[in-house]
Amino acid sequence: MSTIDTSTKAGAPGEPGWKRYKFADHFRNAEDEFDACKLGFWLFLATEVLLFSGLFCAYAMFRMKYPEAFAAGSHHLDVKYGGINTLVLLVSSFTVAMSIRCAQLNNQKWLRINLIITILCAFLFFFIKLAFEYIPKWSQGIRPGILYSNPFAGHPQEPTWWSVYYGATGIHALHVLIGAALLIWCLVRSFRSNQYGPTHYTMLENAGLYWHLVDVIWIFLFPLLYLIH
Amino acid sequence: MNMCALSIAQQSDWLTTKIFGASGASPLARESDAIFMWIFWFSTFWFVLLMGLMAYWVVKYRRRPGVAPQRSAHHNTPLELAWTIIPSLFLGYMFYVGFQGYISNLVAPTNAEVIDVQGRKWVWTITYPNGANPLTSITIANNQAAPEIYIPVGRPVQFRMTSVDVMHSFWIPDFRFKQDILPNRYSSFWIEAEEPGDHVVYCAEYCGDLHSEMSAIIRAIPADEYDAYLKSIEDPGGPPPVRGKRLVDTRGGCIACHSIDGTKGIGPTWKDAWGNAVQFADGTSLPADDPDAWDNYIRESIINPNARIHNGFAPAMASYAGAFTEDELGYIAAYIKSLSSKAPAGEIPTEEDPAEAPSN
Amino acid sequence: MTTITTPDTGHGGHHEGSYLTPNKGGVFATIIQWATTIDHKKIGMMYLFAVLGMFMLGGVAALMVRAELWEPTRMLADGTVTGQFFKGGDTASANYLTYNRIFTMHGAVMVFLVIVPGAPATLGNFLLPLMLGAKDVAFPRLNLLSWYIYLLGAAFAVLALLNTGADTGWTFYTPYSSSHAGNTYGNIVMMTTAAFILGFSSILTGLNFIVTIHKLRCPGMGWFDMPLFVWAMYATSIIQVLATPVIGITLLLLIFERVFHVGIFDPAMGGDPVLFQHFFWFYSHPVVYVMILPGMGIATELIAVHCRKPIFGYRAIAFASLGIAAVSFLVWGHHMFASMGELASAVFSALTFFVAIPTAVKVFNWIATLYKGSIALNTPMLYALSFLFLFSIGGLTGLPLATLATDLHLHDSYFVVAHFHYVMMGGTVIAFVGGVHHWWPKMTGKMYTEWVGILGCLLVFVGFNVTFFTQFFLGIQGMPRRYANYVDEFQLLHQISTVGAFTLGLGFFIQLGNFIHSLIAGRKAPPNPWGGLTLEWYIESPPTEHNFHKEPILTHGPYDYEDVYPPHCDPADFPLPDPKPGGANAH
Repeated sequence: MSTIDTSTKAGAPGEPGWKRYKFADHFRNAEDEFDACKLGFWLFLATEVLLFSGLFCAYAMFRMKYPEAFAAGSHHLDVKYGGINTLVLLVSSFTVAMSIRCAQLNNQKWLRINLIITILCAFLFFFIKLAFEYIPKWSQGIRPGILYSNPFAGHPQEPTWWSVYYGATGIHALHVLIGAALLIWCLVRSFRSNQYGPTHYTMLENAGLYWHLVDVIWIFLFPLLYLIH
Repeated sequence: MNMCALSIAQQSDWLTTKIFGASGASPLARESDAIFMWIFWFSTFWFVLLMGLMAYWVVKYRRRPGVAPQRSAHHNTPLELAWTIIPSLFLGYMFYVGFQGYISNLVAPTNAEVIDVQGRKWVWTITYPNGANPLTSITIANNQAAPEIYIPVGRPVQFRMTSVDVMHSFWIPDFRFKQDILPNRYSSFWIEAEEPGDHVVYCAEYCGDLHSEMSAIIRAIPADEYDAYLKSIEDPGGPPPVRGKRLVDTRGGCIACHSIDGTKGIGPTWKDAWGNAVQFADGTSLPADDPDAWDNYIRESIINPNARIHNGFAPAMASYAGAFTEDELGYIAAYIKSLSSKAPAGEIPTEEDPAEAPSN
Repeated sequence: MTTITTPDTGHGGHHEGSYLTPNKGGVFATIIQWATTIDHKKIGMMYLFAVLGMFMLGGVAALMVRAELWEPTRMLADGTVTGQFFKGGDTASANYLTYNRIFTMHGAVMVFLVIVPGAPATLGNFLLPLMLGAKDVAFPRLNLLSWYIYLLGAAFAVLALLNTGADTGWTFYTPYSSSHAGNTYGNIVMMTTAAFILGFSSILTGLNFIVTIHKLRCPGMGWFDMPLFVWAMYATSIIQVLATPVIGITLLLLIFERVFHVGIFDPAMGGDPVLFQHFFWFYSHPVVYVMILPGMGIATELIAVHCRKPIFGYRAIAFASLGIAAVSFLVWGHHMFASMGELASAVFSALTFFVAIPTAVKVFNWIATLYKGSIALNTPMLYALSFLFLFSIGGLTGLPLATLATDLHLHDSYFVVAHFHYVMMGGTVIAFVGGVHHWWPKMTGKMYTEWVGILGCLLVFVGFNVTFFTQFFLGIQGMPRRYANYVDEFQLLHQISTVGAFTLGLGFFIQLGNFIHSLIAGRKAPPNPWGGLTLEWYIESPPTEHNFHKEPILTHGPYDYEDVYPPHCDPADFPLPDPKPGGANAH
């Protein structure tokens, strides 16, 4: 039985959602609940970091084993699009941090605008990835593992590079989608009942943290995949 | 307990033999048993002490109605420090003797006879130093066919092992040692039999359906009988270096880039290469006098030549992956080895000069 | 020190009922209530039910393995009762395949479905909030999600295993698991997916517990006032959160390897099989400490309560738990001495000895607790003593495995099998079963029958030792692991081991019967049958939905038997020691 007042009657008169919010009754007070939720979320982020660190480890091992294959494969990546995507994610990290700041200041309008920009950036990232990277490569036969069918591979082990590329960026893209979904959910709740405000913005904070993690992982992936030759 | 004394003695004491089933078949095996027994007595001492105290106190301090327990200390720093530090010292010693014994089994003497072992699902194939690979086997317990591996008594034998498919492991219980066997890589250890006898070998890494049927039998026979046996199974194709030279000259085309007389070509010369240190372009290096590293390096250079580039040379060599069978890779490596003054005496064929190989 | 602020429970129960009281709306409403509960106690009980069921499945697989090993070569496929099940086909190879699938099932079920979730998800879920004086865990809905993820993973696993199963061993070593075509492609992918899903359940449970311990302690309970079971769960949860993602990515990469032939682990495609081992054991070594730390925490509680004495060296045990958790991440290579180079092997051997030290310190502390205690030899205490005996053997037999020279003989032999069964079963399972007996009155409100409990404990103890002590000798003398057939000279030892296994099974069966009988016709349990001082003994058996009627304020330590009467107890049953000159706080 939930004791959080989650009534979301649109247009309900009176208080906005963030003022009506009551913390769960097994916590002593709202600060404890907020701290607990943040601690829990940081622990979850630690698990995500460890998941990706396994991927980075595999990348490092195979780079040491087949340096020419990796150099050959890396040349096929367009730094331009990787760079644009990096900028896009950096901007979106800024806007999501701004939306949390707006929540703290009870600026509902700019909270939502910043969230919308962040979500648009997420979709832009995805679009650039698909339209300019994945789809052109896929159609040339540059695919992971056994699906690889490009006859012009520069090195016999190049398919391994592409598997690492697709694996790492694919899992990252999945996390971009999950982050975008979380942010969309926050946006919906903000519209329906002004759910986030100075005394309650836990979900928004956590979604923002997740988004920052997605950005940080890309900051590591970009140089390792695109820039190092 | 004096481990050296035990290993020099020809037989382990009664208890060791009872526990292990049979005495270790070599001084190194008996040394391993001595280490085990030391750990056994150490553990027994602590176990009896702890369980004895436990049993004694459980009886002495059992709950009786109306009797209050006495007060006692909740902790005792000097005692706790003592029982942390003192066992640690013993454990440190255990690590040390364990490490020494392990290294002794891995690093073969330079004059060791090298027998190549290949594991595949689910049989062992052997190649003797003269390149012969007979497939004789005997039936051991329960109708299993176990390939025979003959080794000479009194001479060190190194097993150089690789797998053709999945992971296996070569375990000789009588010699108390095993190594896992991996595809695309050599692993090795050595033994020396003190007297004639049979020693069973088990595969000790799960490899599928017939994992339990993948045995072999090592038959230690007197050294002269072993030499005669090798002569009798010798392949008319010649010893491995000869066969290697034939492969290099006919199918490899290696001489286009690698000279055998010391001239620098597109690739490094093979004369006096084996066994010497190499500097690579990426800053790493191959140590001198490390036979296992050289065997692996030659193999890697044939299959994946650009993995490590010899300093001063360009990465120009194409891969020969798939061009040679496992055995042929071994012959080529033997030929390259025979061109080095550092090759152990046994590797250089004495009957024939590699430059005058028979034409078959 | 004033008394603890909890109202007397005489009035608490009559209008609310316990957490077990069925819903007034009938059977269907009760089912929905349990299916949608966020009450940690209900979730813990559901896990208990599932874990015991999975334990039976894994146990049956074990008995099938031992039955097969009765004879050196005869596969059960020629005519015995279980022959039809084993008969995988007409060729000898097919029969081995069935054996290989059975031992894989035993390992995978026991590791992923029983022991890893076991104590944390059952006793941990039930007891952690109670011991801390909280109403629930920090994230109750996440707790329910953990439970459903466990069910999903269990469903995948059981489907895969019973469908024709995987035959790779629970360790999934490549290249066999990444390239083997003889096995049904789908089953290995399904099995690894199951383990991946179960990993999430483990992570979320651990995460929940860490936050609960940080944030939901009742007033007055500092870190060093917590029961040591809570410290054990804290250390366990840290490992769960940090190590499990690595097996997640490992299994994901293995699935990619099998489906897309990527070439990470398969040498035929340029990969490295030893890399898989490193990735795999980087998780699977810490996970064995996830298995044993809760068991140690349970043993600590059992010994303290049934000896009616503070644990000797509270801080040593607390820090040793954290120390074990930390060092556990550094020793994974000791599973790979036979396939690593010399330097790596030396480093891992040294570090492995290092992790033995806090473990040994704990054993010394437990035994020192017995000194001048008041020891009640009831079923939970007998389990605690069995734990001490069996875990000591398990730990000591780890020494020749940590020592390089002897390990290269004993690795992948029955010696290792015996060692890990002594620590995992003789340690964790024994402590867990003892804990279930100890907290059974609290969880169900019923008392089990004491003499049956003692009989079960003795049968398990004897059966266990007969089964596994013989296996040490089998391994030393040259019997490899995962063998369906063996040479004649090992037959006697194998037969003794099989007799022990069936005795062990009988012992567990009797205990199960004891528990079932107690639910039907057991005597009603008092709130504090053992005289414990931790907070769960201050409330009714079984507890109400909200645990405590008012938030408790802690005023004494968890083991202050020398100063405080346990709640709801007759002082005559649990007399205080004679007062020391200088007052209650003098030591």
